[in-house]
Amino acid sequence: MTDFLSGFATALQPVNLLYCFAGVILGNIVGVLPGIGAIAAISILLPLTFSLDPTTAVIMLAGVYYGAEYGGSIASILLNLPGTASNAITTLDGYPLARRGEAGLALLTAQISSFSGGTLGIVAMVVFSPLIVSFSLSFGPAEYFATLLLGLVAGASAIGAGPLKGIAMVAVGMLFGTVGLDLNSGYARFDLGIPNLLDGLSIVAVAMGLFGIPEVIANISASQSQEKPIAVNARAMYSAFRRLGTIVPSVLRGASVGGLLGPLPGAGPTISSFLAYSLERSTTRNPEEFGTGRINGVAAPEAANNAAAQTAFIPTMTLGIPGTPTMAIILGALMIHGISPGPQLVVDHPDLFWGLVASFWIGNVFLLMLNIPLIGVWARLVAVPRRFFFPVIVALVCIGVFGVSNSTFDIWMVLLMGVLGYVLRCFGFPPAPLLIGFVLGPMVEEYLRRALMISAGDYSYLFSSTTSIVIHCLTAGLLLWSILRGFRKKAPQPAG
Amino acid sequence: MKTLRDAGGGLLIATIGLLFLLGAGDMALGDLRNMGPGMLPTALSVVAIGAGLAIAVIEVLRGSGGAIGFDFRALVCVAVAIALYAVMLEAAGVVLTTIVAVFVLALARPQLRAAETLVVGIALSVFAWAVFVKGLGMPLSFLPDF
Repeated sequence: MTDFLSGFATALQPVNLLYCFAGVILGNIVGVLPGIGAIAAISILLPLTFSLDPTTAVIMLAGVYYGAEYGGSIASILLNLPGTASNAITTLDGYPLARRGEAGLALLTAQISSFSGGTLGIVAMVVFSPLIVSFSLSFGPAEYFATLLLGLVAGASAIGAGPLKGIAMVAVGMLFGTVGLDLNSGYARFDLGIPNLLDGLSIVAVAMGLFGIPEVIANISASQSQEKPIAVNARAMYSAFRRLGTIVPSVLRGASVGGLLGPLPGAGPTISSFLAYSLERSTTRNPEEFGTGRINGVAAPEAANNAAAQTAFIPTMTLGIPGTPTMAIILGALMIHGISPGPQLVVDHPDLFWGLVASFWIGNVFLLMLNIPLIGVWARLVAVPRRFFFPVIVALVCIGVFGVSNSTFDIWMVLLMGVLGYVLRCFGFPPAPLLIGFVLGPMVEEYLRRALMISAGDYSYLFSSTTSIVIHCLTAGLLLWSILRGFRKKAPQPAG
Repeated sequence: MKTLRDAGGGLLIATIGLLFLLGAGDMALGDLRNMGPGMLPTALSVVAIGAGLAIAVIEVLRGSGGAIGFDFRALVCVAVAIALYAVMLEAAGVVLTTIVAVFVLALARPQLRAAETLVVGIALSVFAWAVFVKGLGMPLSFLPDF
C-alpha cells in the first residue's frame, strides 16, 4: 500500500501528468471512432515515445489502452457501432436506451461503470502484484520457460478460430522472431545479407503492419452509413445520476469477471465483457428484458472490460508475459527502452512500476472528468466521416516507422507485413497469435537454451519443480480444452 | 459460391514455413542437448508447414469454405501509397510525398473528390511535418531538396 502511495510521487510529476492526460485523451478519441482500435493507435504512437523517459512513455501508452475502453462505449450507445471490440456487447442495451431518449442515462451508466471497474481493477493490481512478484522471484529458467509456453498456447487458443490456425500463426510469429543475430552463437539468422535485419524485425513495423494497415485496406472503400448518431448533452447525464442505484451489484459482478479474466493470457477485455453480460442475464429473474435497454446490461460489460484492461498489466509487468497483443506492444516499448519487465523490474524500478499503477487511477479520474461534461463534443466526433482518417493513419505509420531508425527499410517492412496481414485476414486468420509468437518466441528460445545449459542437456530439469509441473499441466489443459471446444462447435453443423 | 478460405491461408502459412526452412538449411542444427542456431527455426518451420497443410487438407475434406471479401483495388492503392513513402520520403520531403500518397489512397474510393483530397493532403503534410520534423527532430525536409 505504501508502495502504491509512493507511486503517486512519480505519477504526479508534471511531465507524467501531461503525458497521462495526452494518452487518455488520445485513447478516448480512438475509442470513440469506430474502426481505429487502441492497438493500432499504440503502435502508431510508439515511435513518438522513444524520446521520452521510459516511465513517461509507458504511462502514456497505457493511457491510450484503457482510455479507448471509455471512449468505445460512446459510439456503441449513440451509433450502435462499437468503438472497440470490447464495447460490442454494450450496443445490445446501450443503443435501445439511447433510441428511447435515455442516451444520457446510458452514457452516464457506461462512464460510471467504467470508472468503478477500472478502480477495482487497480485495487486488484495493487493487492496481487506484490504477491506474484515475491512468488516469481524464485523462478529459474525452467519456470520461465513453462510460463512463456503457457502464454504462447493461450495466445494460440484464444482467437476462437480453432487451435490449428492459432498454432500455425504462433509458429509464423516465432519464425519472424528468429530473424537477426542469435544471441547464443552470434550467428546471423535469415539476414539475407541486409544489415538492417541483423537486429531482427522491428516490433513497431510488425505491429503497425499487422494491425494498422489491414484495417485501412479493409475499410477505405467502404461507404459509411448515413445514420446520424443520437444527439445528447451533458445536462441529460447530470439528471440521470439519481437513477444509478440499481447498477451497483452489476458493476461489482462485472468488475469481478473482468478482474479475474484480465490477467489470463489471451482472455482480455473483449471476452470479459461478453462473459459479464451473460452472467448478468443469468442473475436476473427476467432475462428477456436484456437487449431492450436495461442499464445493468450496460453497466456489467463496461465494468468488466475496464477492470480487465487494468489487470491485464499484472502478468505483463510482474512476469514479463503479455496476455494480449496490446500488452505485447507495451512490453516491446519497454524493451526498446532497455527495460525488461519481470519481477526484477518491480524490485529494481519500483518508481516505474508503482508510478504506472498510480497513473492508471489518475488517468481514470481524468477520463471521468473529461467525458461527462464534454459528452457533446465526443458525440459530434462520432459523426466525422471516416474517410478522413485513412490517409492520416497511413502517413503516421509510414513517417513514424521511418523515425524508429531513420531508415526507409522499416517502411518496406510495414508494407510486407501489411499485405501479409490483410491477406491472412481475408482468409480468416486473425493476427494476434502471430504478434504474441513474435514477442514471446525469442524469450522462449533463450530460456529453453539457458535451462538446457544449466542441466547439461537434461530435459527432466524442465519438470523439476512443482511450479513448473503445475504450469505445464495448465498449458496441456488449455490446449486440450481448445481442441475439444473446436469439435463441439462444429458438431451442430456437420454438413457445413 | 463456396471458396476454400482456410485452405488458402493454410497454404500461405505452409509456404512461409517452407521459405524459412530453406533459409535455415545452412544453419548448424546442434542436437537436442545443445541446440545450435538452426534448431528452433527448423522445428518451427516444420510446425508451420505441418499446421498449414493440415488446415488446407481438413478444409478440402470437409468442403466447408466461407466467402472471401478481397478488395484488390484498396490493397493496391494502400500498398502503392506505402511504397511511395519508402521511395520518396527522404528525397522529396514530407509535403510532396504526403500529398501524392493521399491522392493515391483517394483512388481506392469509387469517386475522386479532388478538392477535398488536396485540402486533406496539404493539412496532413503540414501536421506531419510539425509533429515529426519540428517536434521530434526527424532528419526529413519539408520540400524536395534541389
